Amino acid sequence: MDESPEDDLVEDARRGSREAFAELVRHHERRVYGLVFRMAGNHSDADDLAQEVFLTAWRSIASFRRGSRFYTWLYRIAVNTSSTFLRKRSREKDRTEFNENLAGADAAGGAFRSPEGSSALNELKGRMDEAIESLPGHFRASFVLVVSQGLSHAEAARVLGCSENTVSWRMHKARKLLQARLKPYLGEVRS
Amino acid sequence: MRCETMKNWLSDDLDGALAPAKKARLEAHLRGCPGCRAYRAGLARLQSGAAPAADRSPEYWTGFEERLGSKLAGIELGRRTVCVPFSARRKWAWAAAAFLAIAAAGTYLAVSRAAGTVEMAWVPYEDSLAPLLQEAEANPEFGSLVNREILASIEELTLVPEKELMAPPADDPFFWEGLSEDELRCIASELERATGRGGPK
Repeated sequence: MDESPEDDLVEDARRGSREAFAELVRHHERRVYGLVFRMAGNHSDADDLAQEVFLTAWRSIASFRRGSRFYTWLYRIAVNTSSTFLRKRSREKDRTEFNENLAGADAAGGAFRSPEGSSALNELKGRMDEAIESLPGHFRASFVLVVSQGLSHAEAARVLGCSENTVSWRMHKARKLLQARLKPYLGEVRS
Repeated sequence: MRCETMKNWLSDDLDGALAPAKKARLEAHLRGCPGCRAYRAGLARLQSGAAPAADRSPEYWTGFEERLGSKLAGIELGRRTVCVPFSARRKWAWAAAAFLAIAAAGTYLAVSRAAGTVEMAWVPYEDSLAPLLQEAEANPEFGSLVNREILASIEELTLVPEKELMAPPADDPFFWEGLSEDELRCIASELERATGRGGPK
C-alpha cells in the first residue's frame, strides 16, 4: 500500500473531493468487501454492508485524524458496521425462530453435515464460512482481520481498539472453536 | 497447562506474532508432544480452508462504484441541506426557547402584580464597603486597620458557633431552658439514681 499518494487522496477527500474519495474506494473496495463478506457470510449482505461502510466513511471523513492510517480507520468502520448488522440480524433471527417454532435439530445442533461423498478440502472450505459465522462477534472480527485480511496482531488491535494480547487470545480461542466445529472435516483433509 | 500455553503460541506462530525465543521453546516442545503436533496440523488445515473470499467479477465492481457514486451525490445534497442555517430541527429548538421565555416573562409579571411593586433592596453606596475600601487603598495605615477588622469579623463569624458547640452544656446558663419536660424528668431520675439527689425541677 503506497501511503504518500493515499495521504494526498485522503486530504483531498477531506476537503470534499468526490473524485479523490472514489479513488480511495477503488483502492480499498475489495479488502473491505472481503472483510464484511466474512463477517456477514453471504454476498447479498456483504454488498449492502460494503456500500454502507463507504457511505459512513464519506460522511465522517472530516473526523479522520491525519497521522493515522486510512485503511485502519476504514476497517474500524467496517467492523463496527458489520457488528451492528450482525446484532440486528441475530435479534431478527431469534424472533423468527420463536415465531415459527423452528427449533429443529439442524438449527440447534449447528447443521454441519457429514463429509462423506465429497472432497474433504472443498467440503472444509464450504463449511468454513458457516463455522466462521458461528463465532462470537469479537472472535470473528479478529479472525477475519488476521487470517482473511492478512493484518498483523498490532494492526488488528488498532482496528478493533484493543491490545495485541487481546487479539492474540481471541485468535487462539477462535481457532479452538473452529477446530471443534470442523473436526470431522479437518481429520479427512490431506493437503 | 503447558500444552495449553503452547497451543496459544502455535496460534501466534501461524500469525507471525511469536517472538523468536518463544518459537525455539515451542519447537522443542513439539518434538516431544504428539498432541500439540496434531493440533498444529489441524491449525494448518484450518488456515488453508480460510482462504480470502472469492473475488467478484469486474462488472460487479463497476456496478458497485456506480451505485455508491449515486448515493454519495445524494449525501452531498443532504450536507447542503444540513448546512442551511435555519434547519427544521433548529427552527423547533428556537420556537421552544421563545415559548419558554414568553412563559417565564408572563409568570414574572403575574407574580409581581399580585405582590405589588417589586423593589430591589440595593445597599446605598454610602452604606456599602466601597467607600471604606477606596479609602483603605489610598491610606495604607488605614488599609491595614480595615484588613484587621475584616479578618476579626470573619473569625468571629466562623468561631463563635464552634465555641458554642464545644462549650459543655452545664456551662451554658440557657442549657436547661432548651430541654423539654420529658428530658428534664429523665435527667432528674438519672441524677437521683446516681447521686441520691434530684436534679433541677
